[in-house]
Amino acid sequence: MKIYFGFIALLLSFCSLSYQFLMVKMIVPFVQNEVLCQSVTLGFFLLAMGLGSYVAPNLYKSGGLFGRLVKVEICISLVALFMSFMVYALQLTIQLYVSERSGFGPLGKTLVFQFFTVLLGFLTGLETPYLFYSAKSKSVDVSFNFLLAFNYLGAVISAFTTSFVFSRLFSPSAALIFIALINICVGVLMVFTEFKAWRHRILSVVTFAALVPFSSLALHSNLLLEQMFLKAFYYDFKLESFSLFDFEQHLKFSQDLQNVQRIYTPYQIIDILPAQTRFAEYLNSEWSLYLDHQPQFTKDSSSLYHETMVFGAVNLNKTKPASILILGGGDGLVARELLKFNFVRTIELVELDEVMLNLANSDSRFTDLNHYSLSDPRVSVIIDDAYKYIKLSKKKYDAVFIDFPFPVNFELSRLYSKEFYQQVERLLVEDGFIALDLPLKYRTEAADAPQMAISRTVYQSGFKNMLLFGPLNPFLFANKKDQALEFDYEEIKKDVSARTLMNLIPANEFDLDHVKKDGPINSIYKPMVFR
Amino acid sequence: MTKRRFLLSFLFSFNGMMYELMLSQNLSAALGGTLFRYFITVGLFTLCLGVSSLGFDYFPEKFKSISYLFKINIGFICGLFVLPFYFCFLEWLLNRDTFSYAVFQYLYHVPLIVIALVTGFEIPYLFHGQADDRKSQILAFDYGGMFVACLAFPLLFIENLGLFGSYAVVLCLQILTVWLLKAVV
Repeated sequence: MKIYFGFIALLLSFCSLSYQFLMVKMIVPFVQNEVLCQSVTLGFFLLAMGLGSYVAPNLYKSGGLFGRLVKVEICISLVALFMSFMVYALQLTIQLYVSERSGFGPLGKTLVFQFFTVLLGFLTGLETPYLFYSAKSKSVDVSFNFLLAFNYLGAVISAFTTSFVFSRLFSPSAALIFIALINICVGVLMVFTEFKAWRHRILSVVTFAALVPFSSLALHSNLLLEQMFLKAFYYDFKLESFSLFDFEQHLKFSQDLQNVQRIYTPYQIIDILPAQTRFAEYLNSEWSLYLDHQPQFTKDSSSLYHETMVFGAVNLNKTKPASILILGGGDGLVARELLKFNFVRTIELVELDEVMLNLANSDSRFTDLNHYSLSDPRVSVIIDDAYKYIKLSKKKYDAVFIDFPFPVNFELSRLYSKEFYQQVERLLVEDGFIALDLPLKYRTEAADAPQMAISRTVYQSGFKNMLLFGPLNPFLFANKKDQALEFDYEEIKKDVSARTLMNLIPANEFDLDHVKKDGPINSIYKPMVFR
Repeated sequence: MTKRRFLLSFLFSFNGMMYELMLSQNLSAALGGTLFRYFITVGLFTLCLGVSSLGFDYFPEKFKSISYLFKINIGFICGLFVLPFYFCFLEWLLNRDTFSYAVFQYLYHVPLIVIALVTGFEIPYLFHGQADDRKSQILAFDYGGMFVACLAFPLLFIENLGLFGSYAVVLCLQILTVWLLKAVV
């Protein structure tokens, strides 16, 4: 019986922590500030748990709505079943009715969702004390510490499964429903532990059983709402009034649009949009790729982006790099451009996300663009964390192309840190170079602006010469040589499109002397997050 | 005295959570593999908390006195002063070659295990000899400490003070906590 209570404590903790992790996963892409979102959500969850735990003795003694563990589990299961639905509904409402100019920022967005966090946290806080009282009422020799230990074990299993198992099998909303079903099973187990009268037992089991059909309803409605939200978000739909007529018109219009293809991976959310979006208005595109809601490329812009990066950098360095390292770039498009050069002998591509590599190798939309570059005999693909790879690598490269997602959290910020660039510098031959993407949205001339901070970080890592180029898609080129960096337009115009040629000009506001001045740099030990 | 126990519970859990977050940052910086490393850090830390909680029940009664928690914490603080040097030495060992990395990366987890085991003993010691209702309330302050740490580390500490500055502040807080603990002994 003692182990039984330990097992229940483990399952309850597993479910509760999973709800919290999955809730964060659902709202992070919408809020677009992972650090804030994770901290606030976990913080509110723990605070509500503390509150629950504090009032648990009094609530247990008084009985009532939250007076027994079975009742608490019914409430948690109900909230969990419909939480994803409510989260999507709220996201859609904010997207449709709240203007970007209203000043409703990431903190406001995060706080809107905390109602669910607080509710779940409060109910979770009641669980351990109630389980303890329940065991005591059955004269089972279970200590608080014993239950706490199984609680911790449940938390470990939850962290593992949400990170490595659920992210491969389910979307966060489907995982929430799956966990709610586990919660229902635990609730049923508790019915027979907590109640002696068969009348109470039957009534409670029937209540739990009645919740099960809701899971299929919730699953179906989640898919519909997710698509409605994604279309509203990517096409930037706004409604002028709260009238039902407007909403119905919007619904009709939204249903006529092609669905957004969403793929969840353990590392990111991949969205493939069927048509042009607000983020690429200057291009007429058939489809476009977004990672964690951030634009990567459209079918038409891919050549501009990758030609600029590869041909621009090679032209600036005035060498013929033979051995190349690509960090990131799992779509295979940087590799495609590099393979156009006969002098390129080997390309090593290090990508963490296997799902992205599979798309690049087998999805016709990607292979039409990358021409199966990742299967080329000159290319070897390594599935690994780029930071770990370069830290351990002893090879030397003529050029390193860095194509990472935007550093919107501490994890990604490591890949833009001084320690990272120092390792890259170590791997480069003396006349080697690096090229990296510096997103347009960060462009600003302030000393502590992200673009300046990253440039300064690169400079202080040993790259004394650098240039920011490309008004449409900016890139930072850096090497260790002491020479003027100028494009040879006569040479390059034979190889690239007219549009790319127009993008091969230095950025006006970039001033190397400004970069050389003291200012904030990004370090692992004092990371900057570019929100 | 009860209020002091609540405050101690809050401070112990705040410090514990801060150590966990700082070690997670340090380990992913030193060894890479973010998601895997995060899981290893959080998993190992939480597992050790559980082992400590469970292990406490099997302690002989004479070792369950809170004066032992005070002694453990004095030793713990001494260890915390040495920790930065330990990591610097490991960093030097680790960067020598791939073999060194393969062997010495495990030593990075030793402080994590020790800190988590010590942190895991703290709440059971505070629980000991308290009424059941009081235990729930001590647990509530434990959650409260974690809440503050979860907000303070990413939003305040790491960006403004960096890893080393944050470590120094938490070390000072740990000393303050032990000073408060002395009054309970």
